[in-house]
Amino acid sequence: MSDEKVLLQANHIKKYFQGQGRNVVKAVDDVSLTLHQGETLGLVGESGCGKSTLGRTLLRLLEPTEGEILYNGQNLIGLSRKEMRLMRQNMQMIFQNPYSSLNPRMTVLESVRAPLDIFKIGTKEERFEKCREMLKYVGFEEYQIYRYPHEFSGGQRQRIVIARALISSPNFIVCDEPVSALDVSVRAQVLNLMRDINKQRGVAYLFISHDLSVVKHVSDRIAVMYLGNMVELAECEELYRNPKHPYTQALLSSIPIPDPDVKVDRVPLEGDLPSPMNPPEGCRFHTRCKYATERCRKERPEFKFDANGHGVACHLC
Amino acid sequence: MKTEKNNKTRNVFIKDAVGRFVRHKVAMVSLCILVFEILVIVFLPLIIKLDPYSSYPGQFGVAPGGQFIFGTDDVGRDVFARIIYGGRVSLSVGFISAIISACIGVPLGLLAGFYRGVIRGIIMRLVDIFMSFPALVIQLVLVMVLGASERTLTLVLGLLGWTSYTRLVYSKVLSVKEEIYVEAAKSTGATDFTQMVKYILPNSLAPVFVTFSFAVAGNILAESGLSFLGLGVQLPTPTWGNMIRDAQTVSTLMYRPWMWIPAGVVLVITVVCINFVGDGLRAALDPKIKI
Amino acid sequence: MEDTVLLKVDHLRTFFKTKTGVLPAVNGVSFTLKSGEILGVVGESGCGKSVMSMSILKLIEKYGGKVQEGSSIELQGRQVLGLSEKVMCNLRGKEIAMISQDPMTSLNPVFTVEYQMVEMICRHTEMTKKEASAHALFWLKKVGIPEPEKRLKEYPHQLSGGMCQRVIIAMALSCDPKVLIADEPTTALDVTVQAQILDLLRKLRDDVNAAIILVTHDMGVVASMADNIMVMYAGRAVECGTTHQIFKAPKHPYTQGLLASVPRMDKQEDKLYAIPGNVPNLTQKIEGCVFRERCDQCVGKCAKEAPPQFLLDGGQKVRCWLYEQEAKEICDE
Repeated sequence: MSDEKVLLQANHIKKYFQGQGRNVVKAVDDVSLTLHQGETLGLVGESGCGKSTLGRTLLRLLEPTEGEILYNGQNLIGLSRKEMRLMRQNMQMIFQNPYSSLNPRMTVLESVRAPLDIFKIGTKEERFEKCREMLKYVGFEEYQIYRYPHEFSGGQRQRIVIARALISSPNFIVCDEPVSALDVSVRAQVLNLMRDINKQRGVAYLFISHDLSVVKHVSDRIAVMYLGNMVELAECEELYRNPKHPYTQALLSSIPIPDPDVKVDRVPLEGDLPSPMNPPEGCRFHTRCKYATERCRKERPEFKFDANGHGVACHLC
Repeated sequence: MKTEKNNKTRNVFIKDAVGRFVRHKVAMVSLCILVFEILVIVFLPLIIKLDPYSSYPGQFGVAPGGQFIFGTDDVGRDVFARIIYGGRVSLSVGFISAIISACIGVPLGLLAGFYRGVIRGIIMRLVDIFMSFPALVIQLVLVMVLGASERTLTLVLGLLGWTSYTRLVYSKVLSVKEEIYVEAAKSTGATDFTQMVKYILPNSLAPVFVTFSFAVAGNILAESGLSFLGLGVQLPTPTWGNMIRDAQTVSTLMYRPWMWIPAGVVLVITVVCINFVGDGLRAALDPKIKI
Repeated sequence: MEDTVLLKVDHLRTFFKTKTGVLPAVNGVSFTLKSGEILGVVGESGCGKSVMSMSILKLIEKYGGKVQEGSSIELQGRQVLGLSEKVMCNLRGKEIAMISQDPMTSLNPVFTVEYQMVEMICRHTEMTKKEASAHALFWLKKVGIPEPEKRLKEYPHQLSGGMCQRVIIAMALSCDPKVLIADEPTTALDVTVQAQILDLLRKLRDDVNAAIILVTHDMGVVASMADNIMVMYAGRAVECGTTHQIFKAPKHPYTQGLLASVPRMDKQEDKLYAIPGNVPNLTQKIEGCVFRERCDQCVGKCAKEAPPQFLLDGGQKVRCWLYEQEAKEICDE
């Protein structure tokens, strides 16, 4: 458990979408989490688990259906549009696709400078200096900053996006699959950069990804989501050594290890992922769980922490 | 120092776009023809004496030759002079009315696409209303009510032609709004206005340029059509349309082709060239299309 | 079962004519594929692995690519490059099949699964529609689709990603091809589904003794699936060997860099190794070794001459000057 101050506290967040006709998609269904200052919290899960939706909801890019989001003690839900807009200086987002995260009509300089222009930070000269410095930090020469995004590779664009996210000195950044669209060797560059930023500038991350190997590399704590629910939350090492929830166990064992000698005991998952429009009753995982009991079919398990801060939502744990 | 750097950024993009346009051969040729045409129309009357209004006594329906490059019309006026002056009217009506339509239609499309909901409903219903009226009938009615003149015509064509811009911009904005960089702008705290003007609009303009060129061409034709019917610009002011009107009698049609063929030919050439230039513009302005 | 050579590719060169020059997407790739073998082709974007797959199936012309004279692709002893399109159509699906990356877009959305499978089976076999339908059902069962009778009548959008990919695998194998090219078959799928699909491919390889070319960028996938691996960079094969050799004793600096930059589940690392620089612009002629700019082990010779492929003890092949001395021989270029 981190002793650092709590930066963000999200309580019982729900985000429902109206589907076809009467259907309601419960993308995020009662999720709570805590993010400490300077911490990297990894959020993993497969498609339809709601992790991207949760990330956006925490920043109020999507309005939560229910729940409260406390940033430094202040509830973001109550803020007016204007107040929320000003809050955005402190919390930024990095998106998945580096190819569409940058306005193709703005130069690199203009894109990175945009937050400063919006919040009217500093004079024109100061803004330019700040941008130049930040772009240098992420690895760009001065002549490159006048170019357009399409002249750069995916990895370079993602670094521009990171520069833009950092320029207003936020306290935390939600990263939605920041390296998934990048090549393996480029991923390493971007991940190293993000690690440096975390260590040197104390920026906290909510690192959303489906790739557990990547998440393991950057996170302090990791939360696992399944169909809109959080099923497990623990410190990084603890989760990998001692996964308690059957889904986490299956997930961990499915990851192919880049080593032909290592044989992993696969925990097979039966059946297919249910549709988020029609999630199963009770514990949402019971349809694929080989340990499912009668209670699992009827009653949704509560999320409980043990003495070490390892939380899990399972009747059998 | 700073402004120098800013200029550099603009120039890179424009230089890139110009380069791409230049490589689009058809558009370049069309542009050259149009520029030549415009230069002639604007400057020739300043160099040589051209009189489209006076009748030259005794020179009725004279075939091309000598003093009259394109001959004279039934009333003895110099056809060539009328072509030149007629071009002024036709082109200015065409361009200005297209600009008016764009100034109305583009912002409406932007608002409808960005806000959706009630605003979208109102704007699109307006579009439906305007589009469901037969254009020609409305034009005729308005022209008759307000009186036929160059100004009226420009206004009428401008006020009726905005709907295609709105629809186009609306559908482009729908897709551009979903782009991640717009969401990213929102997450960095941009206001709605900034999102619309700085992020969405520049990326939605490409179809506008194409529509603009077609609109100019279309308006030139509309004006010509109305003038041909006698409901547009009134004689003695020449326009290409009312010059083609002379082709209504069989004898002129067959035996005095110089009275209407020049106007028709120059009209066709102009419209076709404008269309090609529009195509070239669209390709040049999209940084992702490879030419 | 004797291992016969099913596919023999020699000096394959595919290029694209672009406005800025000629792009040699595949620049001299050679390999053999035996029955029952899974060959993993790894590399990052732009290395030419997908272009290579498409070239083998002669599908690259549609995208403007051209296979250069002097290349050779032999499918079961038969030269593929000289064949007409008509003959190729008969070959594709029957002798050699392909599965591509996105299962959701590989199936025609307006036809049912049954329609699409039957169409393919009837094309390549003498079966009647009824027989083909039964055959399709047999294959759906074989790839582990639950309630296959129901699924046959469904449309692609009603199926999940994993299910679609299974249908595509069923379609691909239903005409008993000897060679299957799987181009990033699990990239678009969730990791638990990926594990199921990879298991399925392994099982089918065992049942049918088909040969599979598995194209991927995921080192984990290739470690668990492939018998042999070919590492590609900038259109060339820079290293070839058994999976064990590649992972335990990578020779080429690129392979070493690639392995070091992958975050591992079973190890805790502080900083990942990142290969510096970017993939070079292939339209420009490159002097010497194409990896030179990013290599931290290069020597003088690397700048002057492009290295050939050296054959080492144990059958490993490396395209790097560092191994000139210990090489047994130089592979034919």
